Amino acid sequence: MSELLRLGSFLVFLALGARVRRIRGGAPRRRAVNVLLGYSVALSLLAGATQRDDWPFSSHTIAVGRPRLDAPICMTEFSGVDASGGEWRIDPYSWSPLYDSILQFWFEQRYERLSSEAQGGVLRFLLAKAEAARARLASGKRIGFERRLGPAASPYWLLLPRRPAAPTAYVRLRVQRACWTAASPQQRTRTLLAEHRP
Amino acid sequence: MPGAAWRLWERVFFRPAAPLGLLACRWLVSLQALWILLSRPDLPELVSWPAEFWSGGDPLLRARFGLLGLPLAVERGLYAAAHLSLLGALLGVAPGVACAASAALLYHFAPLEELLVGMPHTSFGGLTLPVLALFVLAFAERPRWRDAPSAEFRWPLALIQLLFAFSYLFPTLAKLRYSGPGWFTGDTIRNYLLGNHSITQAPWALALAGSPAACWAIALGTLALELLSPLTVVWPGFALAFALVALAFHYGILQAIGYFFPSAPLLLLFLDWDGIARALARRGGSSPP
Repeated sequence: MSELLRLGSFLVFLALGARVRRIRGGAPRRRAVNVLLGYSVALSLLAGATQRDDWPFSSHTIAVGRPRLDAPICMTEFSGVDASGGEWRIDPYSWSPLYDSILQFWFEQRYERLSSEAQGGVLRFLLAKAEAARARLASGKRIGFERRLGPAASPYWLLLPRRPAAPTAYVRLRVQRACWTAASPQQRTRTLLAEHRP
Repeated sequence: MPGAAWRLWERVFFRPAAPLGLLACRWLVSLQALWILLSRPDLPELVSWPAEFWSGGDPLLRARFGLLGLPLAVERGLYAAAHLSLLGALLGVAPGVACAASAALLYHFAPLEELLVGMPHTSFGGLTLPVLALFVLAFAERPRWRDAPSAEFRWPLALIQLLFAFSYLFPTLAKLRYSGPGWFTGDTIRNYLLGNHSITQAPWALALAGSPAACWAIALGTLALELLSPLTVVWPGFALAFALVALAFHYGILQAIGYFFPSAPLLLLFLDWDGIARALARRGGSSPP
């Protein structure tokens, strides 16, 4: 229902804009423009004040909490494992068009709800993508957002660290939950969530 | 609306403006959107990902953005069309149609990546303002370089500037709603710096976190910048200062916590375009357009 309301609010914006386009000159046009302006400003303010996103009339919600140094920070980490057992963090652009942090969200929200067969399919797909990206990087080619524009490309807004590409192929994919605190970032605990061995 | 508020509304939205501002707005938002699309070359491929990735989400959310199970080839064609229509908008080729088509296609593609997880941060992707701006430009009169100043060239630009200013104001409203005024303290900033450093390894984080004065300056500076942002549509002189300070603010955020702001080039919308038009006219020896 809320999606229909959001769609409706956007369609009203389009209808008011089309009305402005149709009316030529004089007081009726000024009234139509004022209605469009009033609606656009009011809808935006509603999204901002209530913090209910109605993209593209967005609430622009970010960094709203008050973090504590002793609160746990947890992330889902994707690693490739080479034939000798070496573990390598996978480059955040390897899943392009999906960025690493979005894949993390997805994994945390949805992976556990899949059947074991579907989980296997997901991990197989991700390992293939990770290996293809690794091979491109290792041969000096660009991946992900940088594929066309190189360093001039707009990165994803959250800049996760990038590391040198692994020199040899990934034969396994490992997914772990890493947790730490801002007070002790070096003391990380890792829990294995999933591992794919073809 | 009370008389003073109405007069302010009239002055902000309907004072005559040179066509340059609206032309520049079209160039800027088209270029911005093209930059983002060229930086996401694989975006349509997402529709061909295994069905498991799309399972569990709200089908109405996908339908809202026209994700209706079209074949990959069609999505690729639409993505190419988005590039072409943006190029048309940039170059002024059938600008009304080009702006409308670009806006509709961007509305379809901009949230695609985040539809998998419920769109938590789509507004930070760099296409939010271009979507709205290109629709507004499609609704507006088409400016030509030599047109006389008109309110028809003012209201669309002022609306787009205000919508952009909201992207600064609303994060402060969000902080006040969820955390209260206590968010804007040195301690909050220090903890963000340290917490984010453990994720992004941003280079300035530890040095800034070690300075209570710097943390307080960031907290209060953020509050001032974001709260004052709507003044950009009221006062052209303030808008220019705002753009410069905001640029420094985004560079600082990038270095301090590792958050990139893809919409930073759109700060050029806050230039005094009427002043630039007058200066160009003087230099050209003619009366202002």
